[in-house]
Amino acid sequence: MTERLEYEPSVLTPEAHLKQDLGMTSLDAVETALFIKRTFGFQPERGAIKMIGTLQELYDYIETNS
Amino acid sequence: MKRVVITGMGIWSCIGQDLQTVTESLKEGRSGIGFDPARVEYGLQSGLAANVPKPNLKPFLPRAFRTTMSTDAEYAYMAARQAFEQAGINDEYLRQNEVGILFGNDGNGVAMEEGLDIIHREKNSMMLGPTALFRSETSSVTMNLNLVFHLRGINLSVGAACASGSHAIGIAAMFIRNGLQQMVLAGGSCEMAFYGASVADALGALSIRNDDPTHASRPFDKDRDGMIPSGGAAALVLEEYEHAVARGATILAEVAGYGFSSNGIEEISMPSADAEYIAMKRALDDAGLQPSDIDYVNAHATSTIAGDIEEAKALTRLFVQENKIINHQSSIINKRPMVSSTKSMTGHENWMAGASEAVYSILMMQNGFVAPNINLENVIDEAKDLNIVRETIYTPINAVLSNSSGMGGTNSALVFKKVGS
Repeated sequence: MTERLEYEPSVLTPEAHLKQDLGMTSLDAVETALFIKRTFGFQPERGAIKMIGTLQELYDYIETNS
Repeated sequence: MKRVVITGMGIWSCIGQDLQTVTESLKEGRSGIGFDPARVEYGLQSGLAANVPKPNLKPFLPRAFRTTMSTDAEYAYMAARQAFEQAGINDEYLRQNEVGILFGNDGNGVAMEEGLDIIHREKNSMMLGPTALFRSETSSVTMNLNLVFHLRGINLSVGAACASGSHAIGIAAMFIRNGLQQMVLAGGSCEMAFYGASVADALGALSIRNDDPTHASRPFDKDRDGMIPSGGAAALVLEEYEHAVARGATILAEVAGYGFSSNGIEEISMPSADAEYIAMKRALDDAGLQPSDIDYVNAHATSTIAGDIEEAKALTRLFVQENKIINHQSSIINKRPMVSSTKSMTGHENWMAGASEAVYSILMMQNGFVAPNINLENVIDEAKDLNIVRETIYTPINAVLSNSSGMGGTNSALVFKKVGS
């Protein structure tokens, strides 16, 4: 996420909210889904990333599905 | 300032390839959407697409003209033929008078896809052949049609995403208003390119209601899940009013107002209610009309989640909240215009949409009806105060506003009215 979405590492805390704290846009959500597909080998359901709240929840989502 | 009127129209769309068939489709609320398994095989989640037939130009044009045409130039040719014919403009007129062309278009994918396949496979540019350039340009429509119809005035393609066709008509009207042109062929055209649909599919912007194509386009409905890619072409002959009268042309409608705006917000894929409001208000002001003067609004509403909400907010602000007239008994009258999105039947005609929806709106005005917003079962909260038409209504229509919005942040609105109204 620091490389692809250019976030400062210091803001990437487990409780950071993707939209409210990191300012993730709808296009960033699609970019994140693409990153997950390439890196972890599974394709998130359409719109799934947009529904995720915090970075910890994103982590859990990847761990559960990969 | 000179007045601008429309004296001819033509259409090549998924709900008909002539004005009469399209009029019937609009009255009947007929969907032009189908399922194309080749799209799923190509890699799209959505296999939904409009059924736009490929025209056969062989009876009309020699090979030299046909080989340089992109598929949307073919659509546009068929629409332009109809428009000039209805306007009473023949080949002799076109050779003796200067006519311009302004078409909305924001990219040609088919020729580009074919060309890339060839160059990747053959590693030899010669294998692209002599016509690839003219078929892959964004200006393929205007470049090709100027040859075929001997057009020698303004020649310009307008790239403004899904507001392209609307802006093209508005800008064409400005050329005539200012006395720079007497007649301009204006319109919009869009291919049915798989790649073009893929990039929208990648954003999750297309409906994936694959098992129910005719109910998939659901503007303003709570259960909408995206747009359906569509295309074709629409063409309108715009003409200076006195010129049209002098040559005895039948006047179909007046281009009374054009409004525009840019979103100026930070997220490129997000629509803006504020900016859509500005474009529509500007079109009304340009026409010298009040919101209550508008009988019908052809909404842009594409059946996407965010787009329909923002447009509903803009329409509510202009046509509900700011549309209060005090009559002579000091009572407040709130005459809300009828609203529908014809994309519920056609899908999203993209670059063509602003022009085709101008044609649809004028057909309704000519024939005294409002086409329904089909597939609307549970209206979204943001649109609950709008007078959205779910079944065809037969009633006189004197003034319409057609709204358009392009992803990326451009908006356009056109006001048409009956001449004399």
